[in-house]
Amino acid sequence: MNAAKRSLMMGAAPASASDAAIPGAAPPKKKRLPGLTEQGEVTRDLYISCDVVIVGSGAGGATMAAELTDAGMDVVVLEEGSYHPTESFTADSGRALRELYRDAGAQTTIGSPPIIFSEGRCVGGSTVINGGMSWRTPAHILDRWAREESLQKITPKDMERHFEKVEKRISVAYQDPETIGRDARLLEAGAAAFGWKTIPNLRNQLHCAGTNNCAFGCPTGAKRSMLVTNVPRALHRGARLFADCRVDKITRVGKRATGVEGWFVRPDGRRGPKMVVRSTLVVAACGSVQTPALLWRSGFQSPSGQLGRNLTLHPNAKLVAVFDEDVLGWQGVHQAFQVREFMDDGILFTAVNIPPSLVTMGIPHHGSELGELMKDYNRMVVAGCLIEDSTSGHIKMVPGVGPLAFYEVTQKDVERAVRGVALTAEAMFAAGAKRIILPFEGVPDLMGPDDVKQLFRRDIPRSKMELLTVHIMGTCRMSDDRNRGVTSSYGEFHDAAGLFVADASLFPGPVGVNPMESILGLVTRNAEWMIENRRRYNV
Amino acid sequence: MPARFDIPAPQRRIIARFARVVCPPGLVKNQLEQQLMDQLEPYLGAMPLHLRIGLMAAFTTFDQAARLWPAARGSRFTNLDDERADRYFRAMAHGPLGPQRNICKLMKGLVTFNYYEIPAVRAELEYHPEAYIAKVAKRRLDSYAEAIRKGEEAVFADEPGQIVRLHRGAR
Repeated sequence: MNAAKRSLMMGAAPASASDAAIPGAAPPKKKRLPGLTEQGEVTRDLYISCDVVIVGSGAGGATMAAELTDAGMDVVVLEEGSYHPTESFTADSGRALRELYRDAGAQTTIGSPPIIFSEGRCVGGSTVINGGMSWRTPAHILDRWAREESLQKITPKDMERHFEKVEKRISVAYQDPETIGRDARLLEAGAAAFGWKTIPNLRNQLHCAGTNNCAFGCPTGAKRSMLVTNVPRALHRGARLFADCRVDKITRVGKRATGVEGWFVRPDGRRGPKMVVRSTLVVAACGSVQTPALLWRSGFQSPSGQLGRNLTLHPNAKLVAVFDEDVLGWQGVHQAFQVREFMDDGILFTAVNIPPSLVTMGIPHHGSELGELMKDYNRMVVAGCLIEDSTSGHIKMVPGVGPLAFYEVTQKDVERAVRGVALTAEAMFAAGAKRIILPFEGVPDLMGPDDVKQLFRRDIPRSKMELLTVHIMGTCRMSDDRNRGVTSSYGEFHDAAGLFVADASLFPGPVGVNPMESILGLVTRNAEWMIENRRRYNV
Repeated sequence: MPARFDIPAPQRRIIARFARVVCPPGLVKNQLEQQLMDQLEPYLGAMPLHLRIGLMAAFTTFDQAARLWPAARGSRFTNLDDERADRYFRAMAHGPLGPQRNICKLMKGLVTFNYYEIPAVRAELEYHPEAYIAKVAKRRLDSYAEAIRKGEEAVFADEPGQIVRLHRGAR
């Protein structure tokens, strides 16, 4: 970045998240983040150097950037997506899918059944479009990882201070009660009728307003995504962020990573100027689908044969419960509670309001039947159950297409999905639902609790299930056993020098809860190790 | 940064006919066909090229495959009357072949998703999130302004025991 531009950015005020967008008003002037460069400002090829280049600005990339800049390292972050400030977020879910999501949110796994999955592609990554649930990695998962993968300093005790730091940074707290909507209260009441354990969600939010717009960008900035926390922190401490910059490959000399090469993406998708970064360390933080793809494109291979494997994704099934009363599920926070009674069986469920457009994608109805059903949109509770995978899939590069996720749901998970949906349906009927539309093709709607009993016994083929997810994990498993893992305990690629991975692809297995805080905690820990060992890398 | 995408004329005709089958009658009654296309085109533009090509091919195949469906008597989907068009869609969407069912589901989801994104359709459902967002955003600031200010500032603060070494470019 040239001196004039740096000085222009000096002293720019941090983007205050409290300036909520006022619907109907003229679009506000885009606020500047110091150290941010967008494609429109780049008119010629750029060649820069730094200590560390990080590919991706989501949970992993932004956290790594903030930690390393705090330690005085010269950090450059490259983000394929665009910069969308808080004040640009609205309830226009179609626009959000087009602008904030990779492939307009239309990615699916290959397998039976195909599972729709979403990833963020914007400054802040998936933290901009997630539900904002912040849970530490469960102790038994950390213990399992330590045991099975010989991972160092990853016990719950080791991780505690990292999680504490993260929770403070992103303001993890319970919701203010006035923000909890009727749909969440109905789920809570339904679960209470059976005495099931229900907990209020911990969320990364600063007095969340309960707009229920989490998945389309928080319009108040109350959700403390990376966009309003670690990204601005890193930039204010000297990091440089280039948005709209797609990285083609990590450059290398032999097995040493030396930087990255990419290009700026013009608004119509055209290729813009080239971006070449020379750095001492390279961090891949593009998520569990794109990180292995970047490593493959760059010619890195893992002798373990595990690169791209061990993909887990918490398959998720949603049902729609229709009540006689107005629920107005869109008024109140997204996922106020989680029912954790069946957590030991790998099943967790919650109420997750989604806009009418997304409801129609997951139900089999069409034509006038769909129109009649949707008239009751304001009387619907959409509830979803998450299944902790019992299997894993893999990522594969397909020429002309790019990385694709392959995943076959096991019979065990099919049965758990059916059980999870049936349990959720029981709770909904106990709360007063009159009709339940299932995510299983060909299975009639449930009209009462007696129908649920039949559902428990029903054999539903996996190909008839409608599953989705937003939790993509694994693919660069960390393990100190080089025959099992792609990276070391601290995310360093086993078969290369100066190359790190910092995202959910490090997970050796599913975490069973929303994964964001696990990523932040793990990356904070790994960054600390990098800082302690900086002399080894000459940074 | 989605690329601009204009649906080619042949597929446009198929999608328009398809929409009249899968969308509620309000599509025709309220003359929302053009608004549906206005929603669909930028959405398709944001999809990767291979998926867009695949979808256009899927609509074309869906149209032509109707000729093999006995009740169509050799007609394309676009030429079927309403009753037979609906039956043909049901036959494809609930047929025995998994990939065929999945593609039909994807096509239907794409169209109904964009239909329910039309502002007039959302309003008809009495779904007004913008007004609600404005109301609760104001409530938040009225109730917690000071705590929010402090919380936002804390993002930039040094942490206890932290040794911060700013490099040359720091602001």
